[in-house]
Amino acid sequence: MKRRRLIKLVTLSLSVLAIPASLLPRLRADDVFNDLFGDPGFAAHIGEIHQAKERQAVTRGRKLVADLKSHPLPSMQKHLRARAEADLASMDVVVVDGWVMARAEADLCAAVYADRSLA
Amino acid sequence: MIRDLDERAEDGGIEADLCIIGAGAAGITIAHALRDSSLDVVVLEAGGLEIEADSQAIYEGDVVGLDYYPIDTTRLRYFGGSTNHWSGRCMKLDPIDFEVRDWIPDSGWPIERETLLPYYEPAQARVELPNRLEYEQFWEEFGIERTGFDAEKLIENVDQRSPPTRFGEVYRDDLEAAERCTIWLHANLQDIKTSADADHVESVTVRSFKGKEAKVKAKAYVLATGAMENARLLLANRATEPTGFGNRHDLVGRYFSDHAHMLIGDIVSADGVALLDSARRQFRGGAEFHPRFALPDALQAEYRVTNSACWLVSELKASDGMAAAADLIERMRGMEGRPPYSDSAWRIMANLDDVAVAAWQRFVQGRKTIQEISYIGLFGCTDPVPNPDSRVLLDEEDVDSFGMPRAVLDWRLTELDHVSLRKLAEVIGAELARTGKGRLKLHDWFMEEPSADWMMRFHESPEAETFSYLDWISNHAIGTTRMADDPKKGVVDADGKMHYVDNFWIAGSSVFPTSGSAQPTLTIVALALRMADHLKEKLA
Repeated sequence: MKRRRLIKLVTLSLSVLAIPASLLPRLRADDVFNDLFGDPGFAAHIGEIHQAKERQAVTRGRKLVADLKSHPLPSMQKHLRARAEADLASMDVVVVDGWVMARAEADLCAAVYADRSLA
Repeated sequence: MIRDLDERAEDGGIEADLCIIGAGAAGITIAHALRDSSLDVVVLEAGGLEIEADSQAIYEGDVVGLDYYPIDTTRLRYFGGSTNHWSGRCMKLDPIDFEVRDWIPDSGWPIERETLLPYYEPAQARVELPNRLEYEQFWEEFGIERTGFDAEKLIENVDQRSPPTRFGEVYRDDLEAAERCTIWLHANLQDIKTSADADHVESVTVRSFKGKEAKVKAKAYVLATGAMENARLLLANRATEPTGFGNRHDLVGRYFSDHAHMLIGDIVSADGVALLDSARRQFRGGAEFHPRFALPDALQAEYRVTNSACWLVSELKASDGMAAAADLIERMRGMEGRPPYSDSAWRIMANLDDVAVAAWQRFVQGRKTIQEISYIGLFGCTDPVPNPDSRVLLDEEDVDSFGMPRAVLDWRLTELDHVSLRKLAEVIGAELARTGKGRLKLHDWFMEEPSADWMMRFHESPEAETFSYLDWISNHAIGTTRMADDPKKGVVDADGKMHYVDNFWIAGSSVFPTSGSAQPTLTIVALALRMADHLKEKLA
């Protein structure tokens, strides 16, 4: 996906998402998931599969969003990154649609999916 | 000396102190190690000095279990055996491979790795490894940056490539010159004559394709014809034991294994060059190394999985000139291919512009790679769970040209093989993500419910077609006459001597109780050297 189209998608989706696009899982600045999760459609796709397997995923994802929102915007990313890294370090990982990812990342995607469904 | 049974003019039998049946990696190693001893050694090789159709045809047989290559193509039946086509990758077994693990049925060797360690060093010399570094020394010695993966989660080790040594070519002159060693070509083992109680081998009979026959009488015998053929020859010799020689506990032929290995996932990476610089095949110090990943012992125990391994595979996008330059470099390093060089040189000249740019990047700008990466994948290799139902049997309805039943291979894997590889892949995926090196997407077929026939799904997957050039079997026939202290659990004892028989040994990977994920040849050679020492002492 071309970056320009990606940005358009993200901007468009901001109007319907309760979850700030900046909170879409971005583990590191150089993480390839930045591009993938930059597309809310992809995040929702992951979220849909994940919440179908784990019933509490949406609840956990929303809780995570609430927690992150309690931080000032610049440090939200940092907190999310720390959370995901902690999951990866402790092998609290899930495999969704073949992607090996931190549970926090997948839960956040589940929340994205739920929000999009509501919208 | 080397003689041909077909040209033998003498009447009467052949006598020796030691009779080695089979001239592959194990048989040649034992004969070569004993060539200057006081022992008279005969080596019985079923084929000739080159591949011959009638000899190779003896290896034909059915496959009734999991998909396997035709079993007459996975091994070679002439002087040098399957070392005539092996790829040369070598690695020692890990300490955990020798241990009894309560979560892996029938695991554990009757010897510890320390017993074998003194023989690994000379074994490395015999397979002509240019470098004897231990895994942990490799990275520092060659200044290769590590991936940054957590060492408590993933072990990064390497296998190393032999030229590869063709045992029949490399050791032929020495054996030919050895005064007390005679190699008989076209000597196909037919009968093993034992005492009435089958506790002593009195002689063996060999026959050539042209009908020449000879009885060979020795103080001791070593069967070293490879895991499938060792089993077939023992099972087919039923004169004193109705289920086959050495098979009173129904173990001969069982526990066959091979390293199933296949592409299991794709890796997307923002900086694939950095990832591959740490984890791809490397040419250093005149040797080819291949980094690989495995779980540390503690995690294997925690997850109750086997010692499987993974490594990265990649496809590089290169112009014709660059591909030719890479090809030429490899040839000059003597790792792959052989002269003529003219074709590569011409292609480089025709594409001098992009070769010059790449050389500038490499040698002036110090960029580590000169090619663009188009794909990175994760390749998984099983450490097969010992499985008595995975076996070599006899085909009673189909016989070879000597009238001996052909082999049938019923290869099986287990659910734990699948689970083990999945767990390792998940850890690699997590570490790739944590370090920012990349993201792992496992293939759909691999993520289906764990089952014993999981490998068959690979054949139906789109990846099997896309990556059809990648093998799914290693051609590492292992097991069938496993080693154990208890005669009810193994065909041979810790020295490789057949239980209940005082003068019959078995060499090669057929005695491995477990396979690990290391390529077996180095261990075959180390065990053969150990056996040579043992026999020298025993027969002195």
